[in-house]
Amino acid sequence: MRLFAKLGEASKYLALTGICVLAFSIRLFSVVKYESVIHEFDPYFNYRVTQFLTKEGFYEMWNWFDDRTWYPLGRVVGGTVYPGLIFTAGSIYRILHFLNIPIHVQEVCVFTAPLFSALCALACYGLVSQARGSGAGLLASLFVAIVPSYISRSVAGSFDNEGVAIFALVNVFYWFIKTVNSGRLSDAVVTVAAYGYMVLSWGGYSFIINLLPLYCLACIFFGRLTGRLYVAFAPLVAIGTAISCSIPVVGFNAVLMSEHFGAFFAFVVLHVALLVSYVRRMLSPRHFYVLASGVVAAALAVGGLVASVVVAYVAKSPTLGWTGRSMTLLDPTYASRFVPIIASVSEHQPPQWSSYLMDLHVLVMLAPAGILACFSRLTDATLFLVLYGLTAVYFSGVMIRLMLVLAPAVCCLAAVALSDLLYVLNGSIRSRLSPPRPSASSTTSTATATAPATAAGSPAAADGAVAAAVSGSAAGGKEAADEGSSPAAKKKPRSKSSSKAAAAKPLYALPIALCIALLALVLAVLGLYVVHCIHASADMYSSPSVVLQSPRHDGNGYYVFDDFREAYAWLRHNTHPDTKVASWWDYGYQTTAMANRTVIVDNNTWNTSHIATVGRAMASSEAKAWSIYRSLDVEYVFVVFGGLVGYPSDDINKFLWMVRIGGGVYPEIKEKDYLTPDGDYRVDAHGAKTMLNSLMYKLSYYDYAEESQLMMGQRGVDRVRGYQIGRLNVKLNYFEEVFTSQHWMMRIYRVRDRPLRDPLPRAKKGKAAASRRG
Amino acid sequence: MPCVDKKSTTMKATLILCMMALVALSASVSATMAPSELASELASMRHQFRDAVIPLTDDLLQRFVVGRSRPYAVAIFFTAQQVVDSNPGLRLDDLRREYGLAAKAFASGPDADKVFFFEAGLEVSQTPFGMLQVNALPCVVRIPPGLAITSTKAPLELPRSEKMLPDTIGTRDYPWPAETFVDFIGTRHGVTAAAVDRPSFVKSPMFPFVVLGAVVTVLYLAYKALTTQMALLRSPVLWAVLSLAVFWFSASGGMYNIIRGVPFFIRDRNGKIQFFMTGRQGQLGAEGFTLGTLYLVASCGLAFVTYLAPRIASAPLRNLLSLLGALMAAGSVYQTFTLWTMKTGYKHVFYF
Repeated sequence: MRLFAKLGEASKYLALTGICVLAFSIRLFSVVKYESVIHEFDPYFNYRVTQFLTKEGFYEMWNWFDDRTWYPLGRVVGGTVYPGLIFTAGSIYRILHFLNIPIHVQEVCVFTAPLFSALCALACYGLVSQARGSGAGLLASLFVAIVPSYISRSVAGSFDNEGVAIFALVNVFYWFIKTVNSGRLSDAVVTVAAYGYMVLSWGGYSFIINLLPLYCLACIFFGRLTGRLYVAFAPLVAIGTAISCSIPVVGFNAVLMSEHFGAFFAFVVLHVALLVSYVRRMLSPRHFYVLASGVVAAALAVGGLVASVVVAYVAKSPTLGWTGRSMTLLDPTYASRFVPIIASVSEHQPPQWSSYLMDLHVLVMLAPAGILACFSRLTDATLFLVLYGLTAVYFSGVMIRLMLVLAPAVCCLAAVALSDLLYVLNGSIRSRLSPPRPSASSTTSTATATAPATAAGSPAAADGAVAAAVSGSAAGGKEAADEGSSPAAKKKPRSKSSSKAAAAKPLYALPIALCIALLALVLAVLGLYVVHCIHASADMYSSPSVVLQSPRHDGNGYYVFDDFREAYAWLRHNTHPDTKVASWWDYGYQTTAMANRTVIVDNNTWNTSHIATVGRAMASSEAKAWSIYRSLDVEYVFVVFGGLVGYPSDDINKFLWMVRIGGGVYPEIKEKDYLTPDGDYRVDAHGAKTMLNSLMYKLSYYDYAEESQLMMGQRGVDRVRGYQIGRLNVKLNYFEEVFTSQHWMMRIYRVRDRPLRDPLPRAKKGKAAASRRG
Repeated sequence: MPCVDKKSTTMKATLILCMMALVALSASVSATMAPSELASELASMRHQFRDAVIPLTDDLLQRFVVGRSRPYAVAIFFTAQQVVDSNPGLRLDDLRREYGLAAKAFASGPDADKVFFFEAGLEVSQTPFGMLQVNALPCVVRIPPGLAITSTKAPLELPRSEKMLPDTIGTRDYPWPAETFVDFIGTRHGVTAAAVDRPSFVKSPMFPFVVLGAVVTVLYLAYKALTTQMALLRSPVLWAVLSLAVFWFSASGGMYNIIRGVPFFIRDRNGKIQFFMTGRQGQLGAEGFTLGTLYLVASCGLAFVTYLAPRIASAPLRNLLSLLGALMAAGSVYQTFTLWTMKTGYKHVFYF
């Protein structure tokens, strides 16, 4: 029997190792299919800062003022960046080089996210084994290792904060719950350190600093207030806040911003609740009753007084005391409706139901069962899982990006539900197959601690069956003893009474055919899940979006579109190092990282009016745009154009957002001027005149008619929009085409020092000159 | 006697003739009827409607609007049931309510007879739409008293300043509150209205009682909760149900429905109700909640098999119910995947 136990233990570690390998390797599709390259937009900034860090050192990076971006303002990088990811990658780089492994910093950056997803799987295992036992933990770690939502942000090459932050998030939760279960101060120290790392890594730490107080309040409400909770929570608020204050990007926001107040409130409530329970223990019930009534009456009186003062004050102010900012707190939909720069980002959109299936697949169907499973045997840890799941699912409904926070929660809940189900099914099958044994053997091994087939079992046997089938801790019992921390090991009076109540109702085995059918269903669904995850990773989330692929028509291989790097390389090799380059903000990080040129705006959208200026230039006529760009010292302007190859996320399709953001600051830009009278956005002959006259249109479609004639035989047909463009003969007087990439996806123009001789009539010319001067 | 009979018949005939003539006369003359009479007739008509907005028919249009001039201004609110149903984002219902409030404010004000409020529904008559060339909603127009209207057939050119359109008023505080209507239709032209009286729950006579009842109930519940050690409030069943509700709402894309103002269902061109929209773009309220319910059914089926079925003592009942639970779960998992494929065309790709 000891051999079996050891084998079981060993197979658990083997499975965990396998899961880690799986988590790492499923994210390598992007490297296998494309190449080892940094993806998308934001990762390029992180990569650039990491490069700087490895060259110049930690303190230089901390104090780095970057003059290559937001020209002429610049950006204080050290104080505006969450440095966790960069420090992590920098440290890995240093360690590898210390060990004489001469790896390029880009490779370190590419493989950081897959490495941390393996660690995240381990953290999930820990969290769920704290809540339910290691069987459920293994399932949870398997789920989280391959969940598509998480893959989407952590494939190799996706060097973004989320890559390490999701691990950091689950890690904080694991250590917190471990502290709540064990009450050890050493665990609390690790919790605080883990929280510090989380704050260092991602702005999403505010989710933790709100969820944990909520959990604390829920524990007090449900009568689960213990010293262990205090040990876990109080240091986190006190020292954790001090740590966040010392990270420049957070700074005093950690005590000034309203999203942190919940933590302080819960901190106070926790102390009051502990004080009350202490006084209650000290006094006789009668005295306590008298004291409590006195205090409550006084509190009510004072509270009533304060409330009436507040009501009077609020009623006096004209807006009833609600500012726009507090509305954003109460109404999560506010920002996505009224702040265009937030609303324009696709990951800030609310998700549809199909997104949940795409990103979580079958887990979203199992998660409610997980909630029920947690409530069926409520412990401190399962209460936390429920709260985590509920808050995450609520906020993910507001912003698709927060699906990432939801993914581990849903994995944990689904794992709890599924593992309970599997225990019941397997227990039933075992008890049907093997004849019922005397109850005395129920404690000796997991194999015999199954549900008795008949109701004739003694109470002791029935109790064993409860433990085996429903609590799911039959196998976990041993680990619980090993870790000495699971709540099952320290049964409180309450859980005893509940298990007594459960013992009053013995458990019976389910019919064997049904069990086998359900097992088959579970296996089939899990199989589908794996298939879906592999598909998602291989085909949907692996594209670096810097290099594009499309399958050839004859089925042999792929077309590769490498236009972006081609154009950035052109800029790097053919322009002066101090050149200022303007483009829409999406491409700012890439330009500074790949072309090493100064940009006007980038993806760190901290200055709306600067972005609006660029949007205004793109939306204006050529002459006016020229004067705007000249005033910003811009020498080169580039646009991303997909009309020739059918690349839909090009600047023409993003143009309305430029108009909206530009119009938010400069009222002369009106969205309806760029739409047809019916309110459609078109660039064909029906398109609005302002639209066809805008710089964006001209830069995108300059010389396009001839090229499309050559390529497709149809003059001026745009393959994204699917119709012929409105103005075929585009002339440029203020800009000069200098480079267009192979597939026309990136077109670079030089801002002329002085315009060509203006073909406009004299009267208009005077006007144009006036506007240039203005 | 036959003579008398004859006489009475002729008298009757003359009477009828006279009456017909009178009716005809009054009908034809009504346009040129004394202006104050028109206004008072409209005022009495207005009282028949709760919010003082008169539904505009062809007849009313001909009688009260067409003419060289009128002693009152006319405000017309254009609406169409089909648009209200299919475009909840326009919030025409809210707008109509505010319009009604403005109408009531004028009706009870000092200048009650200087402006009258109408509502033109596309279902009732298309004439006003054609006359004022309304082809987009929301649209509210004010026809000034001095404007000559010759016929309902001829298109009427109103200056833009007399039309309330998203272009002219702006969409900042859309749906425009009643105060905007009052200002646009009356105050700008020197016609004053009473203060807008918004019906609110606070003003109703029941309000103090309801507040009292609520306070008593809360106090009672709090007392109960404290004395019974909050057993009810801590009951896991209550919280489990609440949690499932939150999950159900969020996972069905409920927030998407709110933020985007998605309708629960739409009508297609034939007027048939559509609950499910295929294609990746957009979702309807109904389809999201259907899916959310399917998740819950699958989960509850499995949870039943796991936690409740093993506790049933009677073997046949246990077998039957657990089978039912399993079938429910399997069925909804299957249904979910079917709907998903229907929506996005997604199929599981097997690489082997």
